[in-house]
Amino acid sequence: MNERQRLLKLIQMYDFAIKDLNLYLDTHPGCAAALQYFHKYKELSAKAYDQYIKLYGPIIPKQVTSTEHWTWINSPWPWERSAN
Amino acid sequence: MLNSKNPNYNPDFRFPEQTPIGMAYIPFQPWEEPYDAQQGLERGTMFPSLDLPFKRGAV
Amino acid sequence: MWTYEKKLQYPVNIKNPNPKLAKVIISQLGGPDGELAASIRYLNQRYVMPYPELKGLLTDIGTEELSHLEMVSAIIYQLTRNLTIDQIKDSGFDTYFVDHTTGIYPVAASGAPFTASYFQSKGDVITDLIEDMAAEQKARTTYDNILRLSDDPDVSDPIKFLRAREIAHFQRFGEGLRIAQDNLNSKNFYACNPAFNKRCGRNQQL
Repeated sequence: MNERQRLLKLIQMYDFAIKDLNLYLDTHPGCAAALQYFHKYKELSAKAYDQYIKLYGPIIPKQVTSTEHWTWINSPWPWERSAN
Repeated sequence: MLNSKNPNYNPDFRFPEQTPIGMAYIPFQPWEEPYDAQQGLERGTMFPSLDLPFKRGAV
Repeated sequence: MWTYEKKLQYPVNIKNPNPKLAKVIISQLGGPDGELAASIRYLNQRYVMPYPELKGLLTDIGTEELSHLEMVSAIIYQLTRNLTIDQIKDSGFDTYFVDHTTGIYPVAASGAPFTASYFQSKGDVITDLIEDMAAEQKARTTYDNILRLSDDPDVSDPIKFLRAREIAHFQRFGEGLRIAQDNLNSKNFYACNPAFNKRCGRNQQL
């Protein structure tokens, strides 16, 4: 596993935790424990994103930092094996 | 109206007080200690109680 | 509105193309119990839901199903790379190939194209939530069947993830139904439809 895959895997892990907690909170909106975990993973995810996009480019278009080239369109795209 | 702003709202009741026939009732999931993020992603759920895998070849 | 994130929810990395497997897995793309039907069902149902929990839940699960649609498409895409004509002929994939080459198109394994008849948006809170619970079980069973048919761990791995999500969604829709019940008069849950009648609530005179 290369560094890009490692960082992407971290993001996938944290974002999955966020998503599953999100659905739980939709039906348990007052649950303090779930909210606490949500905030914990939100912070971890934001840090992992910052690292990733600095080295490997944007995950959403407005994260493009280059003033030279529109890096959003660069390979790989998620359905390609090399992106996983 | 019993919603999340009502002080009596308690979504941790597994079943409601009244369960008349002619309706379906799913128990509310009570909070439990979740998997860590890595295990959660691998299992497809953060909650051990919802980790119900398929056993291929089971008779 | 929707944001697209340039990553799969769960990785898909399949070493060995297999058009025979692609031919059955495509049901989770364009079939009656697949991810396209699921996402469009939930995203359509959410508009008339009267409670914030349900608006959130249907939006969020509907959105997650779009990311599952993407995963299934990635599985089909990777299973159909670099095929020889003999592979296409021998696998039975030729009947899809003739109309779509190796392009991605929503059909069921039978070849039946996707149709809105696969889902309902009945505009009734109880009916829609029970439809959603049934949909999640149908999807779970379809994934069980795919796991029976797959001998490739690269394929079974993301399929197991997708299957686990259906069980989680089933529980959430069940809780959504409980929330709807809590907002109705249990002497007669069916007296009125809160998605249509404004005065349909717990203290409703029956």
